[in-house]
Amino acid sequence: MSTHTVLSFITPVKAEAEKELTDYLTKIGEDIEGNTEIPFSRMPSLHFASLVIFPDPDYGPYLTFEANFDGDDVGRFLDEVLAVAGPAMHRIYGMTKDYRGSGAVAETKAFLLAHLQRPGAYHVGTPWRTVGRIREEDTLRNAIEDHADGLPKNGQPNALRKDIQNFVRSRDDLKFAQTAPVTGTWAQRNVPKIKWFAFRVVGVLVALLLLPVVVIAAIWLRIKEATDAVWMGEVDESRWRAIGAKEDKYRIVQNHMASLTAVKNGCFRRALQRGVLVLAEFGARTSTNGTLSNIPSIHFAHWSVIDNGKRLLFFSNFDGSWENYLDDFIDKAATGLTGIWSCTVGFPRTYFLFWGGATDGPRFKAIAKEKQTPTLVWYSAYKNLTVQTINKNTELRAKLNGGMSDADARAWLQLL
Amino acid sequence: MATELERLDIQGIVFSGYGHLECSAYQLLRVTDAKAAREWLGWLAGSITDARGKKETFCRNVAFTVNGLKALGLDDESLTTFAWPFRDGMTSEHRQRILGDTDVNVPGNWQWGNDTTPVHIVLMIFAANIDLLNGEIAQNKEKMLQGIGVELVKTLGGGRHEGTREHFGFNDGIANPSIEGTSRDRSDEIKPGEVLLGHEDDYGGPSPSPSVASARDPKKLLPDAGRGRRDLGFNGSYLVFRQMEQDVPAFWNFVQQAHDDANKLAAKLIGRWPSGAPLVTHPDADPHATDGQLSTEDGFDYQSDTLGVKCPIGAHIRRTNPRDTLGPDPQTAKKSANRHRLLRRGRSYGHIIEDRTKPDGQERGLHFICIGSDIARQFEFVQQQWVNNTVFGGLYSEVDPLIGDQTRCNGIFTVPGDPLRTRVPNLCRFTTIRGGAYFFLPSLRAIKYIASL
Repeated sequence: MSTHTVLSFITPVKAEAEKELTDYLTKIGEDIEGNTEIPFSRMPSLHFASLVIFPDPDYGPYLTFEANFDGDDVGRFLDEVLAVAGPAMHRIYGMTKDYRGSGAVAETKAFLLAHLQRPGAYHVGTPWRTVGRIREEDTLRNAIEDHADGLPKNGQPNALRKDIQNFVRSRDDLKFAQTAPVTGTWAQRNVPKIKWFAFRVVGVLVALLLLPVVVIAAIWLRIKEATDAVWMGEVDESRWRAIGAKEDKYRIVQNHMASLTAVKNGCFRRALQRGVLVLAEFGARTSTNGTLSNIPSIHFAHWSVIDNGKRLLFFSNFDGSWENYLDDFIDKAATGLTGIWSCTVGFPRTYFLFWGGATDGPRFKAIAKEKQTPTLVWYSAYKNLTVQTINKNTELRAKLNGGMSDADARAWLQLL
Repeated sequence: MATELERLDIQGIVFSGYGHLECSAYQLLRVTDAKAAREWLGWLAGSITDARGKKETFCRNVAFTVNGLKALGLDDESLTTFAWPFRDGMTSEHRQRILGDTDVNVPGNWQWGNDTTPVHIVLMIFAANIDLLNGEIAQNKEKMLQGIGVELVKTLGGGRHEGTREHFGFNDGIANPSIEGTSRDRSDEIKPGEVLLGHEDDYGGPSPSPSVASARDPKKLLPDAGRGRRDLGFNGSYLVFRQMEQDVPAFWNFVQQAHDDANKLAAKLIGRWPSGAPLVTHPDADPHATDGQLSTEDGFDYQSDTLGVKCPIGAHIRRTNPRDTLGPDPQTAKKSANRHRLLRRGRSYGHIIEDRTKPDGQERGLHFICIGSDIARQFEFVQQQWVNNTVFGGLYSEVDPLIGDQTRCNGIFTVPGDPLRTRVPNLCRFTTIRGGAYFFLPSLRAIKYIASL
């Protein structure tokens, strides 16, 4: 098990309540820190959260509540949410279908648990670190930075280091830094790798046994890929402007993306879509080490196939601007991400699922923008920290104690 | 190599900054009578300098804001085919955030380009000597008084500027790409479509280009764009203009009180020595400190200096062109960074200061101009993701020391060291935006088309 849980709660919205709900959420979103309806900052295990209303021509609007939190106990997390935002949650879900709650926390909790959607694949950019630890390590770094301003810049590395160690020891509020942080148990780190190995062995054997089927499927895929329509439309301007207006609005270093795409018709594509997510999930659990396909700037991202395989839902919490994020997709991660979206309607032309696709930069950007939906409520627990900074802070803390060579001490000081 | 570009149809400023002409001025105009203005534009079209690169003693180019095109009679449907940033203009709320135009830089404080002083047209004039320049400025003024359908909003006089040093005293304009196959120096080339609309860009496709319905171009002045449209943007481009005042004494007084070696700290802020020599290859001293020569050295990357000990991560030239540094793999990083190159055509304005530490009450600065096919991916990206990004390249809470969105002298600048970095505190704003706008720089054919509306 990982030390984070990434999921969403998905509920259809009553058609007549859509506007009221949108207005209510917009108001909360505009004052994310100060609002008393959902005081996210009082949920201690929460990293990022979002509330979005997706329009869907076939199913009607639905509300997603995305949550990325510490630990693996959803019930405990919901207790945290409902303890500070019970009435607001009751009001919100009262505007969704099938909700019968009277306002009692237990009922709202049961309702949410019944609408829980775990992602098919998810990514964590800061593995093993809780919100508390991320904040602590940032406090540590700031204290060391301020202290270092007064040190001689060309001193002996180990003498400088010693000075900093003494400084940290002298500060009661930095006591936590005296102990080494936990980076997951052996099982947490290795069981996914063993599973992945076993999966590949079984996968190769099955593929060999069913070789004719695999060959036919590959040919069928190529025919589909060559003939499926690519979306050539223009991005809906008013919607994109609404999204753009929120970018960087509160001068925080991260941004959010929520998108919903239709999976291509037919069981073949739907099976492939699920299969690709299984691969992505294995990849994310075993080999990414905090970077998603070489993109070092994504805190949490997740993909869910919903509506009986007909829709692909995507959430991402990332550093920097949208333009930069999409560029990273195109330049650094085209193969993996093409695989994930290659079965969705209108995606730029792919070759054997993983190639082509996102490398057609302008078409990829256009469809990504077209499928993005405005995020009404979005919360980040650490608004000024990038994945890169969080990692640097962790390294600074992990190597704070004990002795080291002059060369290592020098490298450690240069983390500042 | 791409097919030969139609130099006769492209405005000269796309290919050349007219370095041989030392005098410049920009006349900002507003349309008062569309019909008369179009007639004047028809005449002007014949006197626009094209891109054949003949060494003229006088050059003239013209560009239009979205309101200018509207005022000249371009229809709404055609206007919607232009890129969003251009249609939004430089001063919308979202764009202010992208560009970092906050605090004293808010458009409300500008001298032009905002709601109080809108601009429709910029006439860019370059001349070999000041008499030629002043003659043209005066002549244009007179013509406008006689009634040619446009009025003069403001003349931005550039005056005469020898050489390539900007006001802080640094050799400028060195890292400036050229369009594939148009320059003898082929070391830093970008695809034609990175600059020109409707040409092959870095993604392999034609850069998006505005168009008009075929029925609106009965004389077929514009090239065919297929699907019942004619190409208004082809061989044209977008032009970003920012008038940026430079406070030279503030800059030099700051570095003098912050560091024993003012020149060294100044070089650290910029990433090059005053001669232009890059810090990454000359970390200790300016190789031309005494001989007064200029350097245009540009063939470097940052692999030998990933921590920024030679050239700080946050130095102006490293932020505005990070080359191969952003990302784990240098080649991918470089390819990615090259999608955001700016073709710069700006020039200094105002007198060179006599004593760089003494305020003389005169305004001076840079008429920043860059030309490109995609304002959002090029200029705005650089401003948002690099210049004003407080966490750029692993930094913590600082922006570009020269042009970043500094507020009230509380900025910091990190100078990486060995083994310990120095944080320079209390960084002030050394530059202030005084005006600006997004323009469309049409091809000569498109100018004639607009004149024919």
